[in-house]
Amino acid sequence: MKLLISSVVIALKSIAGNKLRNSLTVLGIVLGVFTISTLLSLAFGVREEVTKQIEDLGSNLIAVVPGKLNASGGGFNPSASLGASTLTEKDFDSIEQQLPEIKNLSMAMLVSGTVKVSDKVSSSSLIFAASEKILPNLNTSIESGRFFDNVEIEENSKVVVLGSKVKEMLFVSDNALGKELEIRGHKFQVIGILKSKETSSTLFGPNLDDLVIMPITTGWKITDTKQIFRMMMHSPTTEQADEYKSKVKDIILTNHGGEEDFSVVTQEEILGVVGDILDILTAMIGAIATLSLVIGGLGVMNIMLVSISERTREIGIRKAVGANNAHIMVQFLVEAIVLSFIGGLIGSSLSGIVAVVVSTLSPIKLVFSPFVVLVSIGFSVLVGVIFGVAPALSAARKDPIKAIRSE
Amino acid sequence: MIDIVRVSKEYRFGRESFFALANISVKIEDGEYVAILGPSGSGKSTLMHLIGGLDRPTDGDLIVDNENLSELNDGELAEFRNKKVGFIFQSFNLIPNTSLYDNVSLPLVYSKHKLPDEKEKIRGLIDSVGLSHKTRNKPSQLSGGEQQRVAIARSLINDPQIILADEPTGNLDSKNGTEVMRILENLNKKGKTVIIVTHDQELAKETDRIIKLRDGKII
Ligand SMILES: Nc1ncnc2c1ncn2[C@@H]1O[C@H](COP(=O)(O)OP(=O)(O)OP(=O)(O)O)[C@@H](O)[C@H]1O
Ligand SMILES: [Mg+2]
Repeated sequence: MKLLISSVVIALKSIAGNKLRNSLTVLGIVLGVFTISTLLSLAFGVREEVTKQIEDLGSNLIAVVPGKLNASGGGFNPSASLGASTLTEKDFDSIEQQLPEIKNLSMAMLVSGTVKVSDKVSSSSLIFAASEKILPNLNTSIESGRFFDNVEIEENSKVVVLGSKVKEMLFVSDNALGKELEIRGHKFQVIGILKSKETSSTLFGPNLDDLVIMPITTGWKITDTKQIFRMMMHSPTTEQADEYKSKVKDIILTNHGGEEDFSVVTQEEILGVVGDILDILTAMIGAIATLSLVIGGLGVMNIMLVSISERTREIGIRKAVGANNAHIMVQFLVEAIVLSFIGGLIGSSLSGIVAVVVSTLSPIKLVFSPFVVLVSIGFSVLVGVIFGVAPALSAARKDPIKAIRSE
Repeated sequence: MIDIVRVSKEYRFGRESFFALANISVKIEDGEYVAILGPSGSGKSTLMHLIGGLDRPTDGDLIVDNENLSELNDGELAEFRNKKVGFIFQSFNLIPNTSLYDNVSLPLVYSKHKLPDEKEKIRGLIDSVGLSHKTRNKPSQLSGGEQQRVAIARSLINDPQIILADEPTGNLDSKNGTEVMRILENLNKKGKTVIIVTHDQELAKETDRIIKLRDGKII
């Protein structure tokens, strides 16, 4: 214990005695730990966000998308299935008839084009055509006005519901309800505004505030194609998600004569895939962080070797008054650990500051938890141990007489 | 007692070999005041390092305080240096950037057992070499004579029986040299075995017994 305390004191003294040199060395560790810590915070933040989405949408959400995807491992790309769809209205009707207990069954298609109001054009908005019960599937609801009803769908009514951002862009602060706008040369009446969400849906990709939604039949009519690029629904309970997933699949399979040119996925699977992608990303950046820590560690090793060769005589003196190899070993190992621990502390603090700043100034949430601090500082200590051992051993093995005679 | 039995220290350079000490036998009783005298290169320091367990002979046995040093492993030899001997060097060998106080207490860092009255003992020793007003000074802030007195205090902290001093006055002016010799003589009067390595005949005469070395042999 006395040895450990004295080792820490000696280490701090020696580090303080060579501030510039040691600051440069510590920089490598600072960078490495900063990267690890920030990445971990980011990973936890995104994971929290993903989990929140699952909870918001309910894990009983089921979606049917055109094209065969390999959800288990192949990766799911929400936009890859925007091509010609083999899903038909018949599929929708079959599900509706055979599984009346299913909730919020809805379908949607993409209508390309821009939205115009006199001279204002919103080209970034995404125009969808959808059936009546789409909103719960997007985890959003009406802020003002109303959503279109079955009658309007039957009659191909030219009505639209706008996302809050689109509304603001086209009508600024005016009341948009009842106003007219133009899509692909057709006049539409605004009947409702969506609640502002600022989150994106994994199934629709873009920000929900950018959406313009019209009745599905109207979409079919103005594009002159009867496309369906999404069907969404909720199984009666969360536990039944997988059961209904296969039921839905069987129904469509029968309709398509056994050809599996579509995919049925659950919300959990999709978010799981997003999580997988995140894992790969985390691993990749983690590798970079590790690399920078290794470089930092090599810096520590180098500076320890320099410090030891400068203090050879001190080692000889210590041995002459009774230090054994283990004592010397511990002294220099502690010095390496203290050095990288300081780096870890600084890197981790910087990362904490960045986490707070980024989280307040941007929608990205960084979760800088005690666990993150523990892991990052733990890493720095580990680096100190790994890269301190060899120099410490070389110090411990010095011959006392040669050491004491060295200058 | 120090019993040196047919001790040799051989250095090999390829096929060449050189005996720094060649088959030396000598006994030094507890409480003796001895000088090891000889010209440069005669093996004085080598002998002192062997007695103090800082080095190992290539042949023969050193029995110090009933312990055969050849039978001790490296760790035990370190403990032997810590407890049984105190070294004083020509070039003082204090640890730089470290206070006088910490230099004196250095051997305690490596002691297995804590002294009950550690602080008083350190202060007492610093006081006895007349440096109590400079406890916080670093070696670079001390004169040569003062540094050597710190080294003496350090050598005494664990109450060793044997004090080994290698040219202790070699880097000092005559006034400081005399002061150091007076301290060593007093230590001997208090019962310590004091061994002084020197090439200075006059200095050697101050001791009770002179062991003369030449070319690694006792003459
Ligand atoms: N590590 C070594 N390798 C080879 N020869 C050595 C080594 N150490 C000492 N010697 C030789 O051993 C001999 C005795 O050395 P030692 O240091 O004991 O001399 P000394 O009597 O103390 O001399 P001085 O008065 O100059 O200090 C010298 O000739 C020296 O060159
Ligand atoms: Mg010598």
